[in-house]
Amino acid sequence: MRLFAGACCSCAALAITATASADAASAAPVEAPHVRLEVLADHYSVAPGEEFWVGLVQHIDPGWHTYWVNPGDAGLATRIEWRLPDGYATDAPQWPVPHVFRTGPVVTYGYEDRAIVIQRVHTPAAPAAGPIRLSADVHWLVCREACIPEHATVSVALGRASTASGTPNAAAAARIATARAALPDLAPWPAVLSVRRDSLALTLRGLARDVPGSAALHFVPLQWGQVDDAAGQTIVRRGADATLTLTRGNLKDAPLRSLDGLLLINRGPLKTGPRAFQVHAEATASAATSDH
Amino acid sequence: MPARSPASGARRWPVLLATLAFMASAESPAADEGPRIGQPAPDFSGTDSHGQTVHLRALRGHVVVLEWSNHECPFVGKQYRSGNMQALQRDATGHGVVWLTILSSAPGTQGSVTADQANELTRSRGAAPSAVVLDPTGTIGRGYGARTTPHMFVIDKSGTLVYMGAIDDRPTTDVADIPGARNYVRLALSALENGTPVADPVTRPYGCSVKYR
Repeated sequence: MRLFAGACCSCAALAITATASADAASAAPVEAPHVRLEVLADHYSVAPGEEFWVGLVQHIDPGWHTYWVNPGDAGLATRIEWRLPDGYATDAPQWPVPHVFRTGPVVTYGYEDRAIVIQRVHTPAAPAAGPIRLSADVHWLVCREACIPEHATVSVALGRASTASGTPNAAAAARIATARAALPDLAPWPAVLSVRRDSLALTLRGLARDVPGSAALHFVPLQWGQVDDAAGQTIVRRGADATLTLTRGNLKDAPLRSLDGLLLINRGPLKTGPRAFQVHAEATASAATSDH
Repeated sequence: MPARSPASGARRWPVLLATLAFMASAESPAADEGPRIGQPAPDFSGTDSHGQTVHLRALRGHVVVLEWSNHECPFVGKQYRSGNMQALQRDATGHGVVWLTILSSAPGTQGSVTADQANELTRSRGAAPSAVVLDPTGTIGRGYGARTTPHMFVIDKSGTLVYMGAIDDRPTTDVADIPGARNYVRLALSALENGTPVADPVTRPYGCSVKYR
């Protein structure tokens, strides 16, 4: 994250009120050949020390896709670089649950149609004068059969509220709130990892009690090399527990101490898309079994 | 050995190959589990762009580099527009390394070429592989778990896999990233020459997906 060096002197004299125009918190999208990039901010104006949320929306051409933080077997993750005024800071981007793309033996993780990545922004207690201009330089790889690197810069301006809190932008806030609600939950089931020469056994204690047997489970690793992305995953239920057997990836000969990723649970044809949970599992010498 | 003019920059096949008429039936121990560092590299047999049979096992005694490629992929383009891949091929083959460029794009997909087109690409780009192996069924690619273009493998003289992964440590399509990049293949070949261990035997390959059938 680079800090914006110097305020806009000619803007300092302007009085930005809380009733800034509707354009201020949702700047015009920028078109790249296969992705239209839009920036959102959930406030029109913010007060000193106030937190707000921004979102970057990729509107992706039909048939094309961009990639998750772990793109999988191929592709490249989208890269975001914010340019912010002095003292402002963003938290880490929160990526939506990725789709699993499978073409023959190649599996990648990413997005089609539309993806919104959101971040919390912190306003300094004593912000510099002038409007708050946030710019993001975004680079991504978009593929169908061909792969094309693209990039765009989007900007949004917020006003400075003189009151205790700024004015929210209800429309943008609703879109960001929807995205936040769709983020993966932390898995409520303790996870245990047993590491073998060529496979991993990931046990989730109590999952079998909470998730029907008809649901499909799939583990998407956060890091490359620990899990073979293309290999099938088998699930065994024993009592209240469920154990996924994962084939190890290209780093199979390196020690593995822990595993992070998303557990996708697809409950069947009536639900649109899987529910996802963040899983963190530490490796133990042997998989513990349920005591039920 | 059949008389033919080598393509520009390509080395002639070692005479050894022409005298070998058999197809080794023994499977490498790692054949079922895919490539594994320190294990025999998965054996394969294929046809190159001059119609010659290429058999990995017959290349024992030579260091072998496998380069999965697709000339329409921007990540491959980065390596060839800069001349980087060609220079590495020339250096390697000049030191006795057998360099196989392998094309696993299925017919009708991006990167799929005829033998003549492959030879023309080699000529026009000044590439210097020992051979270009056509793998339209993806059999060789699947045997190695080749996922991206480029995807690189280095095999030592005893047939053991010593490196698999990316061409370098800059996963971008920008030619400006070539000069400062750590080229893993070049480093692996140096290590083999010096008798030192390969420092990074497994890295994450980056590129476009291999277009399997």
